[in-house]
Amino acid sequence: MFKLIKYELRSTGLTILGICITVIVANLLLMTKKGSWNIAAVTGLSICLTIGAIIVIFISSLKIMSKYLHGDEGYLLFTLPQSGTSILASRLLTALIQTSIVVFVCILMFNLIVPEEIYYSFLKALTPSQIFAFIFGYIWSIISSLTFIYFCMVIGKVALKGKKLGKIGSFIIFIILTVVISWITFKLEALFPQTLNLGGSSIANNFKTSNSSFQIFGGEFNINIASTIFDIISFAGFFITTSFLIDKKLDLS
Amino acid sequence: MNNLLKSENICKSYLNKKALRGVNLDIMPGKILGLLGPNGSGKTTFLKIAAGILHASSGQILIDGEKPGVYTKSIVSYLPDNEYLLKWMKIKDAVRYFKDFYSDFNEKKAKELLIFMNLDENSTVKSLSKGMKEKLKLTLVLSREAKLYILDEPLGGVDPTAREKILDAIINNFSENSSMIITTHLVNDIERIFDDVAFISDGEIVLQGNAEELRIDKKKSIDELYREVFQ
Repeated sequence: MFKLIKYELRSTGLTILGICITVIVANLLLMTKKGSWNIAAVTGLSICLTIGAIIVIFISSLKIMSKYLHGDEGYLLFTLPQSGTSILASRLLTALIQTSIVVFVCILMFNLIVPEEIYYSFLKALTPSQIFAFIFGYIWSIISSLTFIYFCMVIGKVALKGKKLGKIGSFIIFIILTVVISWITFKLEALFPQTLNLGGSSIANNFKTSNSSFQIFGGEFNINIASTIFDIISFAGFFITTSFLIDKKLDLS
Repeated sequence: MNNLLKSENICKSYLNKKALRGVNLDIMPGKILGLLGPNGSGKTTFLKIAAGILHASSGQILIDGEKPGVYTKSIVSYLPDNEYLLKWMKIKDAVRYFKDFYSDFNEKKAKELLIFMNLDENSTVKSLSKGMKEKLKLTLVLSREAKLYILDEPLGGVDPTAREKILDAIINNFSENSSMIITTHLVNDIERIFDDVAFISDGEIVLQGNAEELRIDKKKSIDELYREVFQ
């Protein structure tokens, strides 16, 4: 599996480098405007750059999987003596590493732009458990969302063999499943509103609902217990099913 | 002696088309089988099923007694008929890739084959011509000490001189403990290396047997027989 990660990182090295250079150059340009522009505008633009960079690397992770499923590169990957689990796990870990490199560069540049007193006062306000919760939430959001999207891509390819049909089918499956999962999450949170505050590790009743199990407000990091369990179960289900489909059902065109 | 590949009534359907209609094929160790047929006859579909990248709709295929999966992929060396090597790779990267993933990969043999094929290991994959890419793919596939080699159109798109070189490479690097399936349209160029042949038409095996026995029985070369069967 780690060999797969090594080669995936090598094949996307130029993309990551390109994104990082763009972020660095754009932030350096923003730094030259610190005196003349409003600091809020400079900070806001830097945040936009970070979001843009993360979106680009996320889309590149989807394009790689699409190439494996619909392009010739799949013949190299899927004829390797590697299980579906290993292929999927390596793809997810690679995406996590790629995104983390970009996020690290973005944070580094953001640190140079934002006035020190604001930056450090923000950092000082965070407790170790909140930092842990942030990191966990970050990893979870990347891994779980990509697993869900890869599941839609693979099931689209398995169900609808053609390249165009497969891609359109995957998108339709993605939309339908997103609606279904959101509805179930909404219902679960309404029925079982108990939350767990990871920041302070206390269980509380909370009637706030959203599509995400993770909510941050009032300096707390709350997760709805019922929807979190549902998220974990659905993640495991998507991961196992995708691995199974790669092993037993995936046909390359 | 056990069959290295055994297929029983393999069928493969796509929506409204039947690509394979009950293919039965056995390959014994040490044999080279020519799977011959016109375009769309089901040759590539069968090879893809054996390589584990397509799944049969019905029937069973066993390679070394196992269904296609991680184990069979570790003992099958498959040459597809497309450009599957990653564009960013140099030839030496492709060699290292195979060495990393296949425990049966013989790096020394790969280096010898690269010299034999006149390939510079510092060249990038995307800079190679079609014929050179074919030679590189074959170098990588033959450098494995696999139990079963599956070569889909190994002579496709290469000039006659390169064809000779590729055929020599196949013969010189084939071990008696292995088996090989080759598909081709260029029957005349390659028929001398076949031990067995199977003619496939519209997803069915229409004629199969030992190549030499067929030549004697029918008093024809395999190439002539191919033209007669598919005229």
